[in-house]
Amino acid sequence: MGHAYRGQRSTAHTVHDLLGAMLAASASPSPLVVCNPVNQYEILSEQWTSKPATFGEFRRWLNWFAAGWKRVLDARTVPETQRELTSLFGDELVKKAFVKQAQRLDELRKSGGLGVNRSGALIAGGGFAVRPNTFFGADDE
Amino acid sequence: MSRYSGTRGRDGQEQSARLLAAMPTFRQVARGNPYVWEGTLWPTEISAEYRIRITYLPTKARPRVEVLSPRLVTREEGVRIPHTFTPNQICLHLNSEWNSSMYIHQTIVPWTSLWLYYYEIWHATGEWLGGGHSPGNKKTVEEPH
Repeated sequence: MGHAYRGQRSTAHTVHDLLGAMLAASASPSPLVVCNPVNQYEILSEQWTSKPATFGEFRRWLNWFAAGWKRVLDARTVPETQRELTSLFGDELVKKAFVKQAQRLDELRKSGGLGVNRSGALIAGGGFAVRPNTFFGADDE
Repeated sequence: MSRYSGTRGRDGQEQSARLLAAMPTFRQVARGNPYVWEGTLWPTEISAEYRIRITYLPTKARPRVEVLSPRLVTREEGVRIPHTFTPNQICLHLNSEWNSSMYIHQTIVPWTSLWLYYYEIWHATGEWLGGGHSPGNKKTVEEPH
């Protein structure tokens, strides 16, 4: 499974490719054998062998999750992305992720590391630097 | 008083030439009194593509920025979109943060992309995460623009 990571361009694409590799590996009728990466003699998937029904459950979950993750990657707008992520992780966690992303962007902006390219896209470390500014307006009326 | 006071103002033609060279999606739709440019901004890979209009009268202090499409909408009835003058005219900076010596493509355009990003996150989370001042703080800050 470790071979599925090939330095993909984003965490999202890494997850997509790992899920693909897991789906391919789990297609075999016999349960997967998952070893502890730091102790190959420890079999983490023992239960899948002793209770094969649990492996079937895992495979169903994996199919569901991989299909949902593909919909996340296919989403083209923030509301679509939010909807698809929420179906996988729940509302609270997804909102926290959006907040964290915005905070990260704000840190970049404050450090002078945020720029805008020729399409108006916000990018890290390039384009026209976003100078300090203060939004003003009636957000509490 | 602006910290940039005393610096040379950019005339509309100079602003226009720089803006059009820097932002290929922008077009000048009126020249002179005022200068008007329209173009699109796409703040992130999963953002909407916004069509905006910038209106600049060199004798006035600031450019006006309107979002033409998609139409800006509030999260719920009766709740105003943060940092807006009118439903489609957005408020990007304080008076001291811009004057006509500054290029629009290096200031107003990036701030607009940033505003649009925070607007989408506001819709997703209910929180305006871009900072700024609300009118309740008006006495402690300079006039808005």
